[in-house]
Amino acid sequence: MEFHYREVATGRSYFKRAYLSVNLWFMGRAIQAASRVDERVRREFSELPADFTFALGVIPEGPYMVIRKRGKDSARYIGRKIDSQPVDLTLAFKHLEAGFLTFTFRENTSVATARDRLVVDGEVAYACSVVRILDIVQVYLLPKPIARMAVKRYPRWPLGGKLINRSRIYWRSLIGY
Amino acid sequence: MRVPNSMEFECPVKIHCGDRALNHIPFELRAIGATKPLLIGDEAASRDNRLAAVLNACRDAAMTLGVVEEVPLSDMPDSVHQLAAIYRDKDCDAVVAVGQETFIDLAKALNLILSTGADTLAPFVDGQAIPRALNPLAIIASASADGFETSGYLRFETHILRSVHLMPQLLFLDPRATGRPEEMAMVETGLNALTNGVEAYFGVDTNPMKAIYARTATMLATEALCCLAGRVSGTEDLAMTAAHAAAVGGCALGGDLLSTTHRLAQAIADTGKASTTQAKGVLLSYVLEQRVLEGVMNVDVLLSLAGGNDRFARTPEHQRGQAAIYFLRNLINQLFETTDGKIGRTLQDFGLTRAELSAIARSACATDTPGNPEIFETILVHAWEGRPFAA
Repeated sequence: MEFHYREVATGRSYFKRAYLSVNLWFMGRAIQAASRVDERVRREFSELPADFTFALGVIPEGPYMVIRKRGKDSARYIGRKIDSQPVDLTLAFKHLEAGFLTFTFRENTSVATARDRLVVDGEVAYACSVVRILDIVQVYLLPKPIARMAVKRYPRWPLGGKLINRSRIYWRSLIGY
Repeated sequence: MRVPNSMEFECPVKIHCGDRALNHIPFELRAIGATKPLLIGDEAASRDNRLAAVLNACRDAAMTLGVVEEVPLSDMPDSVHQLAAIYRDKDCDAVVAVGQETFIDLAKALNLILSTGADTLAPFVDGQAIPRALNPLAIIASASADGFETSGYLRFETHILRSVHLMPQLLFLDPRATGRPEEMAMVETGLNALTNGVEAYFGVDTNPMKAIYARTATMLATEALCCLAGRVSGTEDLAMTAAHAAAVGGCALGGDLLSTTHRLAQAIADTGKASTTQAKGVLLSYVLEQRVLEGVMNVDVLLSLAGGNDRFARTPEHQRGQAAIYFLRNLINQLFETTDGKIGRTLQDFGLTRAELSAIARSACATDTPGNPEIFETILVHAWEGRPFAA
């Protein structure tokens, strides 16, 4: 019996890729904004080395979000290309589906790590800092019911401060400042 | 457990299991240097859409996969020869096998031939050593397994090769690929896993590392079998539990010598009156009981493995061995009822005659491992009559 051989290209999920690209782009700008607005985020950045650069994205072809520490305790969103500069720490989802799970808030970063969907290339202590920054930014960006699914433990912050910072982070993210 | 003076344990299998485990295939293959895998599947894999599930899971992997579906098992040497030609011709660099039981043996044979450049398995049957570094082999397991998928065994026609190097590097257990087999198939998977787990735990060359795998396999297999026998109400996903048990049991077995239960079961299966799984189900308790009587095994711990810690704790110390054997036999009796007699209680249930037992015992001894035909026959007689050794 003659076997039938065929080659299958694995294809692309355009919707999921676009969704993640937009999410990572906005998240990157939100981290930049939060580093100028929120004291907790500033503290986390202050403990990272000078010019520390980290990336969060999806293996093998991205998209990525690259952030670099700037000054003493703030950060700058560099862009979506990981190859353009050296990166000190990379957090990468093993596949697009894992990134989509996390960014549709069905699985938080801690659970994704526990389920072996996330690869960390770099210092684990710094990765923990980055995850804390991501959690803080998600608490600001998302409504409480959704944020509770996205972070490991929803924090108790004063409502007034949270709402004011949220609006500041939103408009700073939109204008990229 | 006694810690041996010297021991070796190796388990090169990386197991991915659970929701979306299949999506890890491209990442894991790249990690071991494979960029163009050859995906092969048996007829059942195509029929149950398990091959399609694997292809879907590889979406966005930026990879090209070679695919050969519905590989027949009727002429294994020819299938292996053709697949090897395709693999070499199309510059593939890994084998991903979606299938079960004999098909996994075919995949292992294919990988061995491709890794060594040999044309057939004949040199290895004649004693050539199996090299340590074989090409990447990934297995997508189903819930209908014989427990040898993750082991270091390669059963090819009438030959058996065994080496820890034959164990696959990657195993994926995903609900999309394990499927939802019939109850009988899950019972068989559970019995295979139970036999592998118990025999690995109580084997002569056991060690603390192997015991961890063997203990887990035994507990998972018992859990699945108790549910299937209707003793306890449902584990959430029986198919996954059974598949886990089979995978872990295979790891526990590794490339070690086959146990008495395996050898007798294979000899019975060679008569064509029962499958190896059916024979294992009947034989296991008798083989263990015979070892207890010989004084070479303390079966008490089996009660905690199979029956659970509660049962172990409430059974008086001097009764634990017999309680464990009784537990196993009772489980088989209940499976006999729930499977409408497909799982037998005695060897008579399979239509074997008393006169055949001597030949079966001799046949079981005629392997690469020495055995005592008289002891084997005694075990078979008890299993045939359904009469415990203690009676």
